[in-house]
Amino acid sequence: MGYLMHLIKKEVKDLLREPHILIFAILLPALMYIIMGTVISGSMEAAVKQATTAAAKVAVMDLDRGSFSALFIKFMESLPMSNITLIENTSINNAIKTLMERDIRTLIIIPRGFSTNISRGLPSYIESISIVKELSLSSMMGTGVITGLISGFSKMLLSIIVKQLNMQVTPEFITEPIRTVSNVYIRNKLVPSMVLSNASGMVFSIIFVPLIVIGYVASISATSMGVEKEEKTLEVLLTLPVNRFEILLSKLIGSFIISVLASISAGIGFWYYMYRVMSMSSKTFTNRTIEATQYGGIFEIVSVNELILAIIPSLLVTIIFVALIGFIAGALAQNIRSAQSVAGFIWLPLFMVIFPLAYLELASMDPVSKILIALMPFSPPVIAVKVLFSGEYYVLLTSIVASVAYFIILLYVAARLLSSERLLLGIRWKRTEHTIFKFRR
Amino acid sequence: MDVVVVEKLVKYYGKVKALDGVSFRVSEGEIFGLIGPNGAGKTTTLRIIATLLKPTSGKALVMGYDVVREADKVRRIISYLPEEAGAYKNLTGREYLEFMAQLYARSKRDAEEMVEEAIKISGLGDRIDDRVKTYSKGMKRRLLVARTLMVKPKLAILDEPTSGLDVVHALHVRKIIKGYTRKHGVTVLTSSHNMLEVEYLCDRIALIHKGRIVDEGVPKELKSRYGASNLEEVFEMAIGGVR
Repeated sequence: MGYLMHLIKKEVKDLLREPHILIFAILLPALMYIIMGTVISGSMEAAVKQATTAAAKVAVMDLDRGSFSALFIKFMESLPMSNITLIENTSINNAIKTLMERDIRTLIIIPRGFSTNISRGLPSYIESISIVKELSLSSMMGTGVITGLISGFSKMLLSIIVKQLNMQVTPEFITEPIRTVSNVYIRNKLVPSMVLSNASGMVFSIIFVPLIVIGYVASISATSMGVEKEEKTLEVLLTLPVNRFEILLSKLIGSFIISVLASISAGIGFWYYMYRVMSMSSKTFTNRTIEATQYGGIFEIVSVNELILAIIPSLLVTIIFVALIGFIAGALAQNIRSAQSVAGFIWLPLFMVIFPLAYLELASMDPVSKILIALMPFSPPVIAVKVLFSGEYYVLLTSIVASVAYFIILLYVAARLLSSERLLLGIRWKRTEHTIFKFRR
Repeated sequence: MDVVVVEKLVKYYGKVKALDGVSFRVSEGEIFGLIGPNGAGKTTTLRIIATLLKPTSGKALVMGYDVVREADKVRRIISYLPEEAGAYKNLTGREYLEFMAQLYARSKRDAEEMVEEAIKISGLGDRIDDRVKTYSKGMKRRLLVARTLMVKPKLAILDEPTSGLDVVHALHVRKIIKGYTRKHGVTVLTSSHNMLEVEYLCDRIALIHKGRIVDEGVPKELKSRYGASNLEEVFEMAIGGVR
């Protein structure tokens, strides 16, 4: 193993300088998430601004002309950025025509009998009409803003009434006399149910990026072998005074290092994306999102060490296993393009295992079924997420051991392939003289 | 002492017989050429000696080591240049040479000397620090020849060393091979279908045709034995019997 480090160094240098690896595996995923995050949060921000500006410019048609309708108009005028235009009683069509002329997007109609109904303790309503010029986020948000304003007035009215009637209750009691406190019991702990949804989201996002990267791993290791064929460096490589197993290991470790770099790069991009979108959402949407972010998520259920111990080995074993499959694909192919096409098929079994597994409830299965599922290749990362909650670490251990066993078997196949002259001569099809690699005499 | 001993080599690719009992010996310090047309079995023979292919039967020894059973030992004393060889295109010429030198050198100093020697042999000058992908075909071949020779192997195996080169570059490469191997006592086993190259380069040659050695000897002696004015005529007369 004297030359392993030397070979790895060359491998990493060569792969990092390969333009399509540098661009597509390392720079692009990060850049894609950063651009997506910036564009989405930017457009959301713009939409919010548009919606708020539009909502601030409101026309009110007061058909009631009572004390409570006057109170509503006063309430609207007291809001910051408010720009209220009162319009005369007319038909809706005429009112909308006026709105269009004055570039006002919302018409609020206070119906006749509004104040009388409230005075008598009967429910009433305020009608809002939003002029939608096209289907857009800001137009959808605009209606939400108006509804929010009316509901704000409604709450204010409620507290006035409660005060006037000298009721011995709070306005909150009137609107929601019974609240639900939803908890879940998980891993011998009682935690708010919000923690569970937060935790699942966090864990899946932790493994989501590396899973995407795993798809690239096969392509990277296939390239590292395919490039030897295409650039005709393989023949010399195989006559160097280096153990062939070292060549195999250097290619696997080289691809692994590049994959980890790709994971880090994509990870940074993904977290940036999540940060931009989440911070925008908490500014924009419901209180529920804000409330959700107040909980610690996964770390209220499992410790950091537990998370690292479950996730990291599962991902590493899967990455190196996939890298080996890519290497074999590369060894059997003629050039980089065909190596990458063959390696590209890794997505199919990968997602065929990962997606159904993500939806299955492992904990409710019998032990034999759990073990059978754990024996499936590529299963460790998803099983890791599941056992973090169920605590059934034997299933994860089985899954990792199985993957290591498959890895060793494939490593043997790869080592045999590397020491065989088939690597150079290619595979001969029986019926024809066609070979994957042409050989010369 | 014989650096290469090849005895009754037979090689089948499926049903195709590529080598049919090839035997020859190469002495220490000698430049030995395998001469023959395309498909004669030259590359197969060289690939077997370079430990890349396994013979169907027969044996090949390099410095007494069997190329199949003791392939690891053989790889330590040979340096092989395939006909269609490339270098890692994303490395610079110097990085490529450094990578290769460190696999053979006993010390850092030794590796540095090898690289300096190779830069001189290649004649690439300042271009040595450019990436290999920017090199012309001739520059790449000169880099590869330099890589093969810089390690001063016991046996240099050169498959069509001037393949694809123009007259000027071919002449440069031939001079390098002859001068360098003579200076350092490197034994060379080469193949070529260029008779001019063979006459200039080789001390002894073997004529190979359809997987068999049809004759062997010093170029001058062969010409006088066949009463031919050049090696092309020698080859034509020699294969007369096996056509």
